[in-house]
Amino acid sequence: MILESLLVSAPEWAIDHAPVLIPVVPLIMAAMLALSPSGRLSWILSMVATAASFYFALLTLGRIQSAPGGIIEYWIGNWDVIGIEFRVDALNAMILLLVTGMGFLASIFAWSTIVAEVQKQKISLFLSAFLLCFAGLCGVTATGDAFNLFVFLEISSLSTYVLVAMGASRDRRALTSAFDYLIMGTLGASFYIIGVGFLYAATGTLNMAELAAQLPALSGNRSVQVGFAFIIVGLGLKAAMWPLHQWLPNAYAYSPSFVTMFLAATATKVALYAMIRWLFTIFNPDYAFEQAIFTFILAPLGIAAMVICSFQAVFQTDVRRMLAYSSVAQVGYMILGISIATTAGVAAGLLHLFNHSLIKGALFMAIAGICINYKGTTIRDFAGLGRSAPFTMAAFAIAALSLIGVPLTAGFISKLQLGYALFEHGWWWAVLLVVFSSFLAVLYVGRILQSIFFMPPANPRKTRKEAPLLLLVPLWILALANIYFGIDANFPAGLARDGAIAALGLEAFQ
Amino acid sequence: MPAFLAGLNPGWLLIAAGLLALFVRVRVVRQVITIAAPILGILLLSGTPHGVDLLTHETLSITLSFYHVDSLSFLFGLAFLIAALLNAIYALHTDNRIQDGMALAYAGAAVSAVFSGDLLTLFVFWELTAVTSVFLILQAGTRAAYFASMRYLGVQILSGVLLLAGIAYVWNATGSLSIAAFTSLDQPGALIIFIAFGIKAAFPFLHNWLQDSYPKASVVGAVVLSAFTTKLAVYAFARMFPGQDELIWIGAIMTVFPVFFAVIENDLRRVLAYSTNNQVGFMICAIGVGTPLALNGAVAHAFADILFKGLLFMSMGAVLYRTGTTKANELGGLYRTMPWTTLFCLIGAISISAMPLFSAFVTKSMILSAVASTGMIVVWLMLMFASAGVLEHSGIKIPYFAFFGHDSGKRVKEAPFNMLLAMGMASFLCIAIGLPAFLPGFGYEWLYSLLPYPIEAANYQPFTLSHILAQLQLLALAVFAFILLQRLGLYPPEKPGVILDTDWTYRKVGYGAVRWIDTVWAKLGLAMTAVFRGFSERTYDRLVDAFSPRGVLSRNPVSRGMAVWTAVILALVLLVSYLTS
Amino acid sequence: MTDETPTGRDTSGRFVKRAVETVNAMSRTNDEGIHPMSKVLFGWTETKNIGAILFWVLAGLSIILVLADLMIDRHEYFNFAESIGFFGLWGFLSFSFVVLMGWPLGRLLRRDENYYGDAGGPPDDIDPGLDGKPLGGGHAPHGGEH
Repeated sequence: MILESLLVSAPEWAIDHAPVLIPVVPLIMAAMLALSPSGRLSWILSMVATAASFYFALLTLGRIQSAPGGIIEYWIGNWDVIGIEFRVDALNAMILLLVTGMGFLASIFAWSTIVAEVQKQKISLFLSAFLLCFAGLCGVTATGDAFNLFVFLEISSLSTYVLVAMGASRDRRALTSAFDYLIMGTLGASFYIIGVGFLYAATGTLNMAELAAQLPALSGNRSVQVGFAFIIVGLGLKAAMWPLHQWLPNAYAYSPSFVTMFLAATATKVALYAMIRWLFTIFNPDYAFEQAIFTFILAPLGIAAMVICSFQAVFQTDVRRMLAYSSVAQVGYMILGISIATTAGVAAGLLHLFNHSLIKGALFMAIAGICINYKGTTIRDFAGLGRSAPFTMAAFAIAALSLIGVPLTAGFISKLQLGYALFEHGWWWAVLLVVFSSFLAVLYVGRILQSIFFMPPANPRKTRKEAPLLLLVPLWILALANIYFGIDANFPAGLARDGAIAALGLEAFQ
Repeated sequence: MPAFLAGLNPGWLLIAAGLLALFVRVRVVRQVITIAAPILGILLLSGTPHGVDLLTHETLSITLSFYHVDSLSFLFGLAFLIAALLNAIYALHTDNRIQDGMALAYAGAAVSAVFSGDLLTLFVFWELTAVTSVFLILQAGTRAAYFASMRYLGVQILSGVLLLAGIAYVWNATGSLSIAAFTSLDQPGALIIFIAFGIKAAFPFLHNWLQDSYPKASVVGAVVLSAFTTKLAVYAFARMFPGQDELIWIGAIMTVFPVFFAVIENDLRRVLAYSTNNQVGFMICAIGVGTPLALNGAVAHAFADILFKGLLFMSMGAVLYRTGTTKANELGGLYRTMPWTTLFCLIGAISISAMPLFSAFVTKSMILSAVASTGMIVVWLMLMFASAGVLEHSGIKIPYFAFFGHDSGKRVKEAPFNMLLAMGMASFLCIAIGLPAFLPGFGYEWLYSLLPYPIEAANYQPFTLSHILAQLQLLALAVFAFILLQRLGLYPPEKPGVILDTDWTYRKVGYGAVRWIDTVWAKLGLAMTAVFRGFSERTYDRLVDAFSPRGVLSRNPVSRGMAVWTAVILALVLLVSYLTS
Repeated sequence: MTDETPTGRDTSGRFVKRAVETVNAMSRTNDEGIHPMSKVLFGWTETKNIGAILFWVLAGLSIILVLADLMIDRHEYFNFAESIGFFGLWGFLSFSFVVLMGWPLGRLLRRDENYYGDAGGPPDDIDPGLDGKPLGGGHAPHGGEH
């Protein structure tokens, strides 16, 4: 409804070029910001850029929804097959909407936390790096070209390393974790490009659709399989698939809190999207080796992540590290859903991806709000904050309950869907593990919430101090979205289902 | 009634009012809300048509039915609303936003659960009762209450999680979320749901959350708690497992075993918690029998129990409020200063003992007749035994040790007027539904006409000479036994102390085990991390020795370990693809 | 304790008078401890040898009820239940059994009050006049101050 009216009111050029404008606008804006004299101006411009991307993402989604099963093919410079194609279907339209939406919300509250955490003369450069990262993530999602995906992946990764390292002014360990991340990220990207190289050698094309068309004939080809292995491991590393996640807890814990929020809500999600794209659209779950990898590699890794990282989260003392481990565990849920390779399973994975983005976005945004006024992010530091910052912490609590999967929250719906999909597939034991892992989530979330609401403040002189309004508004948008999508899940569930259908190459049934 | 009100679930009204009350600082306004909401709810409910889905919502291809009234759910809903009203009056002397709001929301959740037309909605409100009720225990503010509330929450959430698992299983097997009755427990989903209900109904061995938490709740909290949770479970059983044979024996055992605990228990609120077990046992047993007469009896007894159990909890609450204790060995002789409370407590005690002209007589006799008609002698004798047991702990022990017996010398004030008013109203209802129908449609006939099988109920005569004489004999000789034993000095004296029950397994054994695991974990965890890291480092060192003599990255532990893992995963993926193609 | 009257002072005559005087006075707690209504409702329990009286009254009542069985033809589902005085006997035996079991069970199951390490105490919302404890409200473990 809203989408339709947007489509009607949008100018022709915007609709036509929307897919490519999503990454290009922030890319150009990033270059301009690097030259901007004032931090505040940079912030406003970055908001404009992310808002524009969000708008174009909405237009793209509207175009795809108006024609069920529709695909937008956009050839840059009209070079046709030898050129670069942007290709958007229901799957990446959903991810685009998510990334741009979270990016927009992030850029709104950016100012209040950046001012507190980043040196003044670096603000413009910081925001420029943020826009680069944002553009990279959008590009990864929108592109239809395997090599172009690598380029955008590197754009986003390189700027992420910078962003993480910016946390050094607060905690020197940000430098080592940025370095770690750089090594691991580069390793992942190299694996990816090696894999693409193998495929190029076998097929002679880098266009995804073209690859998908040529691969069935080559499914027994060893170099295709080796390429596949490299790509999955490379993307798995980027998506923080257990046990390739070890860069993530440090990166989340020591980077500026704004960066943590943005990365947690988008970066791993985009890598996971790329993985789904490769697993289902370009390759095909019908290949015997891929089926085996689903059953013997991805599903066990997903379950291991779910259980082991939840355990690790229980024993953390720093809230951000705890939530970081929880993120890895949640990636486990998504991978488990994907590894069933049914429409229901992929849809459940996608829905959890969407909801988890809302959850972690809200949680880390609340933490960012706390970091502005209070020192420290250990659980003990959070004691009594329920009294000092009730509005911030109430939103935090809502998102935390959603993380557990309490009924009437978004997290519940996606876990329920995952449970159904697993049941349908006959993996009832995995359902038990999901329940067990949710129980662990009760423990670690319970520890934080208990500290926040039931403990007296560690420092009794703490007076009441809420996060600034600029942060509270996007925070509560996310918190309320968690509740709304827990009651009426038709919108995200519809997106996820269409996405899964598009990923699996099935006809949409309406 | 206006159309927009017709679809308004009174439970939702109560929940909304409860949430509102949480934020109302002005005491008078809050009191008006807490009293007006149940009254409005009763009015709404009385005009609601039966057997229609009044409010549905479709999400994810599941149709949820939020408001569905029929003859089974109606009486439960009505009883819950009356209880909510009485509780609100009982709480008027307090000024506690959280307690007022949560009590109302808890009642609302129970009403909504009763009127839910599908399993998923039932689950949501099932959990909501757990979450809201825990605050009533927390409001006691003591350390013991805090830990008890956490244990309570754990058990209640476990029940909810099991229910959800069962629902998922059933939905997967049948594709239906209907709350139609199950025919057997063969289906695993039905069995899981059965256990989930059983936890909330406090089945034997699953019962201890009740004795653990209710007596530690606040004065008002215990009264509120007594009405809803177990009765909601009774409703759920009557809805989904009527005529399930297993329930007959479970119910019979439930009536008998609490009797023994109650006789040695010192805390009178805890005695009432055991008494709750015992009364719910009668209902469960009747549901197991499953004939129209038995189901009528179960529902009617649930209705009566909400009133007289609430009344007894209220009177003990009044004692606690004035004296600060409900320990039998510290009480006694309170009738001198609390005569009205004594009177109301006696009415509750006589009602629960099923004295003719009081409520339980007209409800329990249906259950006993129904059980007898099945020819199950042993079960029937167990129920008769339990009837004498009820008289012991609820009929005699509660009023005797609190208000008569050895004079404790406590000269406290009579309970506040609002408490007396609530107790008076409950007493009135206890008597009103127990009276013979001097006028057609009044007395017990009013209750009977609202039962799920009104025709069968109309054909049943509680006031026959046989019934009355049998019941009087049972009661009179049991009381005689009490006086005899008392005079012979054979009645066990009330001693302070805790009575071990199944909670011993988790509060002592379980707690010890957890502490042991915690210690082991602390040590083993470190060792494991060391081994794990040692393993990956060693592997890496070998790789470095092989490939890179300088070890550029070796200063960095994280990337070190991860590089190895990346290689391992890559090797695994390659191996699997190689083997399967 | 708020009442200032020393316990055990026998002032019954005065209070009965007062109680009769006005309904209002009857329903209001007297400052001096003993509630006026208690005499009206339960004064009989203070009768001398009330224990013996009750014992004989109930013994008599029991005998009458059992004898009534001779005259009234009860209908029961089980034949043995129609035998004379069955319910009385069953009630008497059940009750005695339960009470007598209290001795061994109490020895077996009763533990020290602090067995679980949290003997507890009265809840927060008891009479504020008692032990100077404040009344309810504001004891919420979490923010009551939004």
